[in-house]
Amino acid sequence: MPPIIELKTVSKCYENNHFSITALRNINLTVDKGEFLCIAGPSGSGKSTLLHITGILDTPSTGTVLINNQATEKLSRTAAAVFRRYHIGFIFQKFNLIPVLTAFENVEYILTLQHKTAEQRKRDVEKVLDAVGLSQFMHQKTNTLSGGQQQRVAVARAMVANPPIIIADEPTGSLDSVTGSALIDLFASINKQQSTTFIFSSHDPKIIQRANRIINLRDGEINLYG
Amino acid sequence: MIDGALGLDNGTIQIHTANYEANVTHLQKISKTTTLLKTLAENGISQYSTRIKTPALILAGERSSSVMLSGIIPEQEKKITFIHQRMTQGHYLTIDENSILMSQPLAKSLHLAVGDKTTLMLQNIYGQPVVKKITISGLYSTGLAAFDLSRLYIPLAILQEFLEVETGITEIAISVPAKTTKQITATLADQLSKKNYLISPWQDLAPDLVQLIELNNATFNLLVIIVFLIVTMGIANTMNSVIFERFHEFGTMAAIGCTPFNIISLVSLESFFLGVLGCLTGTLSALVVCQYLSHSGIDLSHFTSSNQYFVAGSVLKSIIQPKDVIIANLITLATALIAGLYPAIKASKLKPVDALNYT
Repeated sequence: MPPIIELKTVSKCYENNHFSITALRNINLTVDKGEFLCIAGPSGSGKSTLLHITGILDTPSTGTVLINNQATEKLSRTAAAVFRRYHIGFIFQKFNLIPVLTAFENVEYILTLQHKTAEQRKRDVEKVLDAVGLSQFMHQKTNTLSGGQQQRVAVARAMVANPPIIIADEPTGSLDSVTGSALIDLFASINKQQSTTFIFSSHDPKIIQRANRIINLRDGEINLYG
Repeated sequence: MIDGALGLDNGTIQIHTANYEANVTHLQKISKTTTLLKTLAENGISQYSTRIKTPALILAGERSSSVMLSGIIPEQEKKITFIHQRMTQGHYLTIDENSILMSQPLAKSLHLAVGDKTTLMLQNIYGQPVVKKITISGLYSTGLAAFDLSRLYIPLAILQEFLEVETGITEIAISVPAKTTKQITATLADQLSKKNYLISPWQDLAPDLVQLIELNNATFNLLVIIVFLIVTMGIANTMNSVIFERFHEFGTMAAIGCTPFNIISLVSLESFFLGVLGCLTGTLSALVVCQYLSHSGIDLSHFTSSNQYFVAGSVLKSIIQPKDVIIANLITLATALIAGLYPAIKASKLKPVDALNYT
């Protein structure tokens, strides 16, 4: 079976008139379907850049990113957005929920983009919010929820459309250790039950060790495969 | 302002004899007045005043003053001018009273008072001088010095007798709504012989008023443009701030699958609804204020005391024109949409990662 994600000699360089910074250097990486992968490394090592390029939120300066064997770096903005809509779920460190919407509406939004019927959306959203233990909070505005609850809403939003890949950038970074550990338990459970590929980043050793595979980044280069 | 200016003397339409010339001293009688009045009645015109206007000299001892003497039928004249509302002493003219109505400033300059007898000197239809003693029945004051010092009123029948013109008149002043003036003038011109009559709308009688209205409209339009430019910049600035603050949110939306078109549509729709909300709130507030001002008005008397255009009333009252409401709302709505479009396009063009990192 071909890998679900394949990065071939990917580099990313940020340049302007005054300076040039290389965030990633010749990254070669393959991720198989159903992997539970952690990108580890200190701050500034390129973890976020690698996740953004893998999730087609950014484009590499050189190299190729294949997802489901499709090259993504040449996709137009619209095509990339539609691709993400159906293939990749995102979880961010700061949750990135839309504060004026309820938990239900935040999760429902991606299904609206997928043109699901109201009945389908209701059924899927209720199911996924139940799975993350937020049934009783579904009609609350997200800014009234705790950090852990907000991150679970973000998880529900990432998994509601059943994407084959979920990318989480420092998902426990804004949570206390107990809540963070519970969140990784939730990831692991989804990974196990639905074979969803998880790629998450962290610099917390307790979180890192929960992954099935660990990639260690330093100065934009992979210096250790776990 | 139009009503005020025309209510001083002109009325909205005047009819004279065909070869009428202003500032000519000899009497310019209108012919076939019976036919003329019948035509007015047939056209539903009931508010008119038949007049004779002739120059005269008023003498009071050693003092004298040249004036324009207006022979009027008091009840008719009340429908055209507001002089009867500006009485300060005595009473307004009655139809057969052998007396004159004089302004208070003129009476003061001639050292006269109500009840005094004064001497009028004028020229009859045959060009012969006529001198008559007559009593002052009342004093008025419009506040407009130039008018007050030059105008005397006398019952029409008395003046006709002085001038030996029997039932002759020199002028008919008509009052119709200002908006219908041109149409009624055209109708009367069709029905009345041009050989006999000169029909003049107020625009011809008071070209200075027309110029003033045009100047006023131009100034007001300029003011409106300036106000709308300020409003436009305000809306544009607000929309820009609101949307730039939400770049991070647009980054999240792009990450989960919103296309650039989705983002532009969303922002445009929000801008549209914000615009609609602004229009509703603004229109409602404006209607309340205009409704209030349409009754109470804005008193400009401190600034307009010697202005002939405000002599009838110096309180400006608001009028709500549906056209103005629609145009203002359309401009506001278009402004909100256009102001929202620029940052929306900018947001849609950012890479999702740049939008997510936007601070």
